[in-house]
Amino acid sequence: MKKLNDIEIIDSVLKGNENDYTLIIERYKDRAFSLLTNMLKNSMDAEEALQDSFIKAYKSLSSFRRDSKFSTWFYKIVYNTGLTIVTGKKRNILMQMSSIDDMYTLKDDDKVYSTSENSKQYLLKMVDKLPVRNSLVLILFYLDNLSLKEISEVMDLSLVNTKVLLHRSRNILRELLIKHNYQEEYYEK
Amino acid sequence: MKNKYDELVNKFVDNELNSNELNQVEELVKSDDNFKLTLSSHKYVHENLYDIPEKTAPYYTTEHIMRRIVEKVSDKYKKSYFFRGIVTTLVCILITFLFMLFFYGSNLEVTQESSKITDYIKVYTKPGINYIHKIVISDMFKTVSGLFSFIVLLGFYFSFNSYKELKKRLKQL
Repeated sequence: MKKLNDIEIIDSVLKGNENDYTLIIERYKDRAFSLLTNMLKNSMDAEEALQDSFIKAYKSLSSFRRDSKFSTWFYKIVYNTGLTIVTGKKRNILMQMSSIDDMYTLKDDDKVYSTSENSKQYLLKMVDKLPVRNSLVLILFYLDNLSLKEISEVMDLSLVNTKVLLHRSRNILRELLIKHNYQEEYYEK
Repeated sequence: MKNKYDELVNKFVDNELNSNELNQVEELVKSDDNFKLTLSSHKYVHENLYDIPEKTAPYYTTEHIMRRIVEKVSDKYKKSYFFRGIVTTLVCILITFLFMLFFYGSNLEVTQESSKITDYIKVYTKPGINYIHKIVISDMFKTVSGLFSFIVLLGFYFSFNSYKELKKRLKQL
């Protein structure tokens, strides 16, 4: 059976086959959940935001212009829904988002290091410990395979700032690895 | 703490180096252990980040979302049925009124065979009814009421159709 692409599914939903929307949900729910869990640091909030995001996307489906990919459009909804919840709960997201220059004092860094079996596990665990915007840019780039331009649209940043954010996020992870003396392992690679 | 090689190693993993920069990297790998360490660790980070684990949404997510969508769809239809209901009621009142007019119009004279109640109503309302009856039997009124009836019937047809559509959608979901 032919696998429908996003646009074909959307067209079908707009023609009245609402049931086809389950295909979109199934396709994006885990990736959107990863993004939201990372933003909200709480799976209950992430779950609520996930449902809200899909409902919002469903309601605005007819206004989706085909000049960008559906995934970019949808992630923007997810990102904004997450932000609304964060600001609604009066969490200081700006603090979390702007502390990239103080990254060397990452919370739980040593604890994560001591409980990790290898450098890769440590690295992936540390992604969640990065400030929100830094970990989001990594998730969107590496997990969701979005281009820098698409990420800049989702996060409402300039292309240059998005690139800087990605570079800084990788740099800090690299420095953390070096700090924990992982050089032998990657020399072997 | 900023590493002086940050830009170069990032360009390297993103395949954005020009030929000069590529030569520079080759030179540095041979001559600078610090750069070698930075580059290899940066590559390691870049390659392994592709394995960021995907978190799994709760199993009932799809079902919950679709249920909420169904509720929204049926709410939309409920609202629309409310207004349709009002319009339909008004149309029924109008039809009843028209029927009464024709009833009086065809039998305006009070006869001895008529029942007492009907006679009483007819006598009491006769002057007004006579006036309205004159309007009703005019050609203009017949044309307008004919068109109006057509529109009402069309309205019924669409209401019935959208009800069928709603049932179909609910069944699909």
